[in-house]
Amino acid sequence: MNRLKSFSKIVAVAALTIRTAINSRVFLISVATIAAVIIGLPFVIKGDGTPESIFYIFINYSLGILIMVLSLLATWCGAGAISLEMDNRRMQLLAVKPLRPVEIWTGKLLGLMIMNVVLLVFAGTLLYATLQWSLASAGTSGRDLRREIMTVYRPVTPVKAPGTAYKPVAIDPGQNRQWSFDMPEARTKALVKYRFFPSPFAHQSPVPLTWRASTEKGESLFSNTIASSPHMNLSFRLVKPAATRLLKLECLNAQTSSAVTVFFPSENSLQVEIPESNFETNLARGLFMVLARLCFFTSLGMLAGTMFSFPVASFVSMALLLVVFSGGFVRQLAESGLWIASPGQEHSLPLAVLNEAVRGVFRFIAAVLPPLDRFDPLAFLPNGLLIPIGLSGQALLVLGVLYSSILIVAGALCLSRREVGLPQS
Amino acid sequence: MEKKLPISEPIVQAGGLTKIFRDFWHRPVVRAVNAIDFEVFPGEVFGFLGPNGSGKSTTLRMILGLLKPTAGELRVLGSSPHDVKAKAGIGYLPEESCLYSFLTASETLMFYGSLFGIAQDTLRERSQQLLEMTGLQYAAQRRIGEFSKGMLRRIGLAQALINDPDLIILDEPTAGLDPIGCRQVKDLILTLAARGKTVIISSHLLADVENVCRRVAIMNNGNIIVHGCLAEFLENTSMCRFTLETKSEDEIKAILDFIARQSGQKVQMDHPRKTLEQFFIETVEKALPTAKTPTGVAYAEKIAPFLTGKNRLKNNNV
Repeated sequence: MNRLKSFSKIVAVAALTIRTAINSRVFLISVATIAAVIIGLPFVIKGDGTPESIFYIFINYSLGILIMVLSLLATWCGAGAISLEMDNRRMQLLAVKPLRPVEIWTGKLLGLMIMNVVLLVFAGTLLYATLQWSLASAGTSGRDLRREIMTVYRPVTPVKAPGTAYKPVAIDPGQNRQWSFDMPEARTKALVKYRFFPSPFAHQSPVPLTWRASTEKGESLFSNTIASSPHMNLSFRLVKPAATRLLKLECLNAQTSSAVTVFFPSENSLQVEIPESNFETNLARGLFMVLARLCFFTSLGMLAGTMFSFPVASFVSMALLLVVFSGGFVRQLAESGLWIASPGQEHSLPLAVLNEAVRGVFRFIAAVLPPLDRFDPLAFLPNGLLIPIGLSGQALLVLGVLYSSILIVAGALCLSRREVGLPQS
Repeated sequence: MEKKLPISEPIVQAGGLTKIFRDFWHRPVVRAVNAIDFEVFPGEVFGFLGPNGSGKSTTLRMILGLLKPTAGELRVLGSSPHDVKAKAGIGYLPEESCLYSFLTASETLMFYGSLFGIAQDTLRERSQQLLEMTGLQYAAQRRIGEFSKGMLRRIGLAQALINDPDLIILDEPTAGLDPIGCRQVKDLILTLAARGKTVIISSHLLADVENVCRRVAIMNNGNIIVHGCLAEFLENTSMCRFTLETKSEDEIKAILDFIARQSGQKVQMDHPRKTLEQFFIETVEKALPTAKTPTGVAYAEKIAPFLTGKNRLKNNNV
């Protein structure tokens, strides 16, 4: 019964938070900003007009800016949710009611998260509809082409011995090289994607490469010579690779006129991609990851808002947001200290001590920073790569539950310690 | 100067209560409340009086748990002021309106009531009664942002009473109300006290405090300089007054001569005076015998039934 009452109080605070956001026009501004980014950006950033470039602009730039805008809005709204209540004394009336600080905090967070969900659903729907419309307007009327662009693939890299690293592969003219791919499941289609570098490096003209694909029993699935441009992402389609669990792929450097060696420098230089899901499902998973990030940013803003007045809280939360987004740089500083450019350089004792101190600080920050880069939908969606459902779940657990819970506890503790009735200066 | 304490457990008990405000560097800036002791008992109307900056509001805010005492003991409804259980029994009217301007009067009462976990049906009925009592029924669907100062005061009072509290803390309850509204607030306070509710008032208007408070604490510079029963403070026992119905001039002369002879003192005679408040209210009520303007907190002399305890609501599950 008590839990039910507590929940109903949290819901009441959440509902009021939503109404506050709507009445302060934050919601309207957010909707307008999202619409402006999604609809306006493709007019500003021009691609080469191909369906692939339209898709890339929408998913990489529009979605990227959208995530940044939503993160800023979530942090800013979080900063205002508590601090503005304090500043205009509304918190006094809330604080004299039988509400625990954690109930006020959770109610505010719940209200803002409901707003985030609505904004994210609106953004996702508008993005998808505009993308479809743009692809259709660009002349990609063929359903197959659109389906191909908007298919999500799972990459399969060449088989290597356990515990060994990938070794770069060089194929001289007239030579060949074979790779094996462990196909995880039976698929009717697969895409072979490759990108190579020539030697000499400045060589630009296409190199004829003969590709052969076969089953483990030697049954041929594909055989063709393709004039392949170096430095470019290239691909060819395999039909019915379902016949095998172990796909063998052979590449012959078929040129005769010049002596150009082709290099496949990394594991990602050659991979077989199997169609895994549709774009809609993948987009939904990506937006789910964004929601988990927004939950963390909202909590972060709210914590700042609990400790400081609104102007200070806005500044502090934006600074924290910047630090969180600069996770890679922070980790780099944690590794190298102040002199990133010259790690081997010797310095005087005070500078060395300072460097170690800085490293210590950045090691601490790196240790407590959430792994945002692990849960970045932009690492998957623009390249048509599948976001595993487990990763979306992890994002929810790590950012939405673990980190947000820590911030909720810290925020509730701050709120309970803060004197709500202090005279205003 | 404490006199005649009622014999029961105090509902608010403060001992050595001190509040020092500090600056950013934690240096003491002002001693707002200086080791004060007082007790407020169930069913009494207790008033805090004092000039601006005397520490009245700081004391109220400590009772409400909005400020933490620097030193001393403070118990409210038998618990710490920060205890949620204690807060469930408190109603508070702040000095300045801090309600949500975009909510309507009805929504405001529903929202604050829902924070007490009151069932929706009960809440709806109470809201209606309170709006009727405060004369705001006609403005139930109007936004708070459109309210006048007097209306804000009345809706503020209504939200303070939504939980039928045992302890009601009113900071300047009559500020912004017209004389009729003031009198109705005072009537309401007395009605609540008669039901065993405890009321603590902080006010600059001495007449308000004089009419309703049984005991007062007069504060200055953070100290309680006088604390006790108001009637005993104001009673001048060195003189006495006889009140009679008006007689003829000869009869009055005979009575005065008799008293003068018996007491050996000169005797004065005058007619009792009405207060301006009484005169104003009588005049306004005569001028508007049929169409009463909803100006007060007890429109048409009606106190919300759930506050009088006469018509208890069925689902009174606060």
